[in-house]
Amino acid sequence: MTTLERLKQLLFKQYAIDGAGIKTEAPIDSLGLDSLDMLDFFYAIEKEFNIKIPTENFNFHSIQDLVDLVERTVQEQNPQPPPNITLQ
Amino acid sequence: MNRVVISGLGVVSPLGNSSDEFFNNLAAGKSGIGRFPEDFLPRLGIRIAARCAFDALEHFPGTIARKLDRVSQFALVAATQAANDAGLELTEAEKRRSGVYCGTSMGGITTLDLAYFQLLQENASRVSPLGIPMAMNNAAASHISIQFGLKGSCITYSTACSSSAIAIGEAFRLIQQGRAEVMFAGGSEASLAFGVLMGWESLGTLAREASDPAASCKPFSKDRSGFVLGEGAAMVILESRDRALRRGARIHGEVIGYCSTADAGHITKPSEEGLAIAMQTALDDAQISPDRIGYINAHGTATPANDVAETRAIKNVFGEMAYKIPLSSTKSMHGHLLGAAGALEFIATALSVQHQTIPPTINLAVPDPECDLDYVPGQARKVPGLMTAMSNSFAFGGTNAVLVLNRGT
Repeated sequence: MTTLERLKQLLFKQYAIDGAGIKTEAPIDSLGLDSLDMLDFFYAIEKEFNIKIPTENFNFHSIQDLVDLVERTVQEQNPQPPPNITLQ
Repeated sequence: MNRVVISGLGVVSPLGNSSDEFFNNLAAGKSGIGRFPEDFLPRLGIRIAARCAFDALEHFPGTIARKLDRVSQFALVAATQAANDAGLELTEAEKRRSGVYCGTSMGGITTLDLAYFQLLQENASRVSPLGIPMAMNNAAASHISIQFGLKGSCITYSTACSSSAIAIGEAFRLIQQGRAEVMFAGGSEASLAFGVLMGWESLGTLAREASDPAASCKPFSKDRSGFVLGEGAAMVILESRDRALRRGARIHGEVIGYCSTADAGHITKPSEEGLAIAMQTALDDAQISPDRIGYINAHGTATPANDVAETRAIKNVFGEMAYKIPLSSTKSMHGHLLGAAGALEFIATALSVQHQTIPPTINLAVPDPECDLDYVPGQARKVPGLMTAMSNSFAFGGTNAVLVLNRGT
């Protein structure tokens, strides 16, 4: 599942937002979440991806920016082994 | 001064989630006390409680329910029932003069309990940002204000076990003095959390589990050993009698007297003198003589200390008449709802008068020479002509509240 798909799943589960209408270039505000919901969404993202996003990075414009931030943070903090390598 | 009436009732309780179901079960002498599921918290010595059969998803969408601590869920459901029961319709101008007074002892304690578990047990690097707004003691009152658009006074009272009796009494004053149009008043408690249960257990005030858990709480009985913790919410709508009559509302009762006093004694031990002063002051406020009281809903916690002190205090206030006034502890059935107890028992008292039926004290099997009044043991009693009743709420910390009400006319 892609990062975007996982984020859409969270949005549906927690705020009943239908992922079908989400455009990645749209501003994050278009989700219609208030500031408390946004903090709550970030908390859920951190748990979902097993990361901790530094508070100073809570600063982006579009939904794609959020996807990029999550992927960058995962790379830094919680890199996954490439799927084609079988661990002995 | 306005006369103040109760025009709406809402109940979420271990004896049912409506005021009718609650009172029917009280009058039938049923108990809402049971055992936790077998695997619940094996480190606890006492594993009984009066829990509500309550599924939040029957009342809220999942997206809303997850942002509300159980204490706010209870409060909102009880407030909605009360508003519907009252047939409440407020104009925008009236909403600016209407508010919420809500009592709670421990607020969103299960939310806090979870956060501490995550922090200390799971070494979480962050806790939920919803934790503070869910756990804060005033959340329940504020959610009611938000849901109903009430822009007048919105205050949370936290005086332990008298919290919601204080909330009702203070709301009564506002309406009486013409300082509010309509008030939602009551309380909510949802504190059956591990740390809380353990704390009460350590304090030694909880009832020992009987072979039948429902028989564990034995107010005024010689073999009493304490109370059983409960949870739930109770809300009333208060408005002036004139307003209620004008709009043809059904009146459940009239609040005629209230007082709050402090023992100024000991942090946990009740003061016989303090309780007597509270009852006498409420009678004075109601401007009635003691012989008018036809029923007392006792605080009746079933702790050795409370029941003797309350019995003596009643004798001090009512003299020889004390023996003729039926009183009962409904906590024997619904458990001790702490911050919601006063409001739930106030509703029990109003419905007793309305139905001319006094609910019993159950499990009172062994007479105690120090508790020798008429506690209506075992079975409810029909009392035709019952007009006026008193509801006692005392508390750790010593803040006592006594409410007096009349049958609504």
